[in-house]
Amino acid sequence: MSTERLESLAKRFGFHFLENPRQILVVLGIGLVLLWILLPVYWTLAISMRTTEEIFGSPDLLLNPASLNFENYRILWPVEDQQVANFSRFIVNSAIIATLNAVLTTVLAVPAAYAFRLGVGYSKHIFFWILTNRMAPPAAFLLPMFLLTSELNIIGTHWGLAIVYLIFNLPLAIWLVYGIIKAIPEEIDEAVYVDGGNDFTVLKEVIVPLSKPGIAVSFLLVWLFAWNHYAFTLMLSDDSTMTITQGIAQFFTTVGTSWNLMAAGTMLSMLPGLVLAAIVQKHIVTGLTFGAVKA
Amino acid sequence: MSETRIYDGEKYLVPSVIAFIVFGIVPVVLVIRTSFMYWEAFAATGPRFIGLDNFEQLMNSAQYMSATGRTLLFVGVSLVIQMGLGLAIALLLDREFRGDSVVRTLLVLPLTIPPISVGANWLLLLRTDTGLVPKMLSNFGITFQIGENTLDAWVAIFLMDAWHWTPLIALIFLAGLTSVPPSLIESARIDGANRWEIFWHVQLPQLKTVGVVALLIRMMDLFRSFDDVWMLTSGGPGEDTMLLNLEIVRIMTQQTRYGIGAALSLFALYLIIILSWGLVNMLHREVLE
Repeated sequence: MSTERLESLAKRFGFHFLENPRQILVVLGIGLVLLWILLPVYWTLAISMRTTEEIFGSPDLLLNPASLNFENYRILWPVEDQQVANFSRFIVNSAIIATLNAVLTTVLAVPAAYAFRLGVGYSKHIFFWILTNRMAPPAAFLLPMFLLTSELNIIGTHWGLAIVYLIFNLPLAIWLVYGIIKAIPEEIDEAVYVDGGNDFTVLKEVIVPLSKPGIAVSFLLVWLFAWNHYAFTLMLSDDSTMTITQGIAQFFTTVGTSWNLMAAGTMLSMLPGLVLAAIVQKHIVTGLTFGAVKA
Repeated sequence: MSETRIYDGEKYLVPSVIAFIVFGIVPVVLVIRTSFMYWEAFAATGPRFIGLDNFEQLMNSAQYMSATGRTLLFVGVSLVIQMGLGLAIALLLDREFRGDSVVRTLLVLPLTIPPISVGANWLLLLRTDTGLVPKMLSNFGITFQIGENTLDAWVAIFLMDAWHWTPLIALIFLAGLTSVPPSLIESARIDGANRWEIFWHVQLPQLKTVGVVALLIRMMDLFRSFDDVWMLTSGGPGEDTMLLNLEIVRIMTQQTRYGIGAALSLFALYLIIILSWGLVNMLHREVLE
């Protein structure tokens, strides 16, 4: 490529190599970061579209578009043969659990966030206590959650996992929703009270309608984290409620060498994250940093 | 709001508070109770209280103490790698160019996919028989075996965790860099400061707060991590990468020794409280201000 062509290409992305040669290093650096981010996912995609012989032979770095095959994905969708992991069922289970959890979390989080906006007694201490629940290490909570769900008779059910995930997702959601609704001016509340409304009218006719987009993003993020969860499924789910993350983890022990099937399963498990990345992008950093950083 | 209170906020909080009592406080009580019991799923005798025996066994066990040591090594080394790399990436991306939002979205990607899948991605990339990396290294006569070689397994874990979480640090620092007033940088430039001096004397001091946030949150989450390491090495080769959380899960699910597992869980909770103390204080100040 000639220098002029390179320069005009760089200009189209907002860089000026001739004026500022150091930008060449910057572009190389950004390219390296992108390569680093994409490489593991790309390699999984490549393996998921290859046969076992192709994987263990000396595999090409690049996928050959002519020989792409979706056989591995088809095998994960067994209709009659049940000996291989049944991913269609895992996906349904994960989707049910994630949806139940997201609905439950949102239904609890919106009123709770509203309570903090109204300012209940001791609210700051309660707010702080709720926030610390997000710090619970899943491994240390594995046994008590097992005992608790057995006691409540919800172990091995979709509801069991959907309810237990509240401990991580509810603090996150309360936070995100509180961050949104505290910006709504209190004069609007006053107007509703003057018209004879009460605090519930404010919630129903002011808070919820005005913060719908924010509540929706919080819902999606919570859904995603519930879909992504693994540790609690180890003791809290049974064969009928096995999730997609368990499906991937079990390849390891049961199917052992079917790496191309595992790769296909991994691609399926990442699909919601890949699709939602752009939507939840701004909120995920806020959510993961306890609201301390607004990206 | 107004002098006479015409609203009642408490009732909106009750369901959430009940949820956190049942799923936040009750589990801790249960784990404390179990830690004083001899309780093994397949033992001849049923569960019974044995006082502090589990804790005594734990403190005298080289196995559990090495797991603790490995966990601290994992947290410490990962923090250094990820803070450094995260700051570098943030400085790289702190400029406007066409496609900058695409780059930032791609950066979020490791944060949105399941941690277990992060482990699977890296397993497929680093395994000797399926992996691109070992195959390329073998061209240079280097063998890379995460299943057999302890150092290789640790390198794999550090690489994977850096891939998984450096984006978060980078995005935190990027948010910090964006909030540095452009006028500060401009006046430094007029005073004749070069790029490095601007970074060292103008930008870095402004990054102190977000840097502390990133460090504390990452430290806590590193200590909590389980899924991706479990998937990548399962604690192997042998027990060389067996972290505390992996040990707890192994005791609970494979050995089903609930009493000692609960004692170890409690010990892990105690460690995380100590490690997160800084974070807790910071959040407390922020909430109460």
